[in-house]
Amino acid sequence: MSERELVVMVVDDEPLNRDLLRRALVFDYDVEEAPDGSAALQVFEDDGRQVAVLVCDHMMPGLKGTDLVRTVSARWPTTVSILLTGYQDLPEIQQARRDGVVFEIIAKPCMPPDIKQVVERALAEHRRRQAS
Amino acid sequence: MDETDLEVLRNASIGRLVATVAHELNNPVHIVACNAGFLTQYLEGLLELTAEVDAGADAARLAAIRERIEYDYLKQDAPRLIQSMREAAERLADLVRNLRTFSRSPGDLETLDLVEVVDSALVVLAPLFRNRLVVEREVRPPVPAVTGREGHIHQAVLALLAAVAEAVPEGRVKIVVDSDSAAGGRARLIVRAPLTRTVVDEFCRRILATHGAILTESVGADGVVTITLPAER
Repeated sequence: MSERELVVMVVDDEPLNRDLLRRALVFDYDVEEAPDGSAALQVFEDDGRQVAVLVCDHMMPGLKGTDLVRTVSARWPTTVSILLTGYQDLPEIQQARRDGVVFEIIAKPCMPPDIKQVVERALAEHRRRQAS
Repeated sequence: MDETDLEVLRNASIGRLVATVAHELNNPVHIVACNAGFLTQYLEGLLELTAEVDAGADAARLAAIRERIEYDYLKQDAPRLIQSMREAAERLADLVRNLRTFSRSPGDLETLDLVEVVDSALVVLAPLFRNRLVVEREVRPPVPAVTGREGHIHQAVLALLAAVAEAVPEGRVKIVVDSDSAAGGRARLIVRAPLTRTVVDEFCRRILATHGAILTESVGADGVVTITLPAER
């Protein structure tokens, strides 16, 4: 499977941030976007293609980022989740990290090359999970 | 308490908000900076394409460059990218404009609109509320103008609403601005929230007292802070 066929889903309620994430990734990957956790889960349910990497904000209305990655981790275990947040010290984020449902936490604001680097590592982890 | 004490309280109150405001400033700055990087990348691709056109490149060569630079995507995304930068810059300008109001010296007595004061505070404090608290703001006109020192009134309301945001872990904050007919038509600010502690600090209390405000405060699940200010004299 080429990198182009691997879906990276970005979830952020702030449209300007979502656009930024898309621009950082769209030249290398197939990018899906969702404005919140519920919409993201709908894409997981509806779309036959497998989401390789989930990049999501934490502070969102409705489902928080940690809630979303927990659900995804339980139901789509080969998907690798990355959490973006300006509040990395929150207890629920640290707990999600300890529980192993988050591959990496990126502090916001983050530069596009940093996101690409982490997504690249997450894709390697996705391949590892698929192979095992 | 003299003016020097008040200044110390004011500085402490403003200092507590610096981290919040820095976070809010950082986000649009980041959006502008990153999009400027993408715009440069788009421009380099388009300049390469136009250089080839100028050099008389054949159709196959131009098609190859278009595909490599993802010309169709660039064409579609460029206006959206510029709009993103505009929106972020406008957000930044809005925040700075509101911030100036709060950093002002107390100033002379002047006519003030309590609704504008509350709205300015909500712009500056947006990151404290966002995605954690639902803020409902309601204006019940007519709201009489009040007389006060602009810098002080803005700073007192900002300090109050910042303290409310910090005292409410999650839930709903209802803010009403109206006229208190029972108190002779004074302008009134009511904040209803599940307050875990008192929110009116010494700076806020002192400023409001010098403006002839009447202040009531109760904590708990149905916590309420009410401030009424004399109508314009």
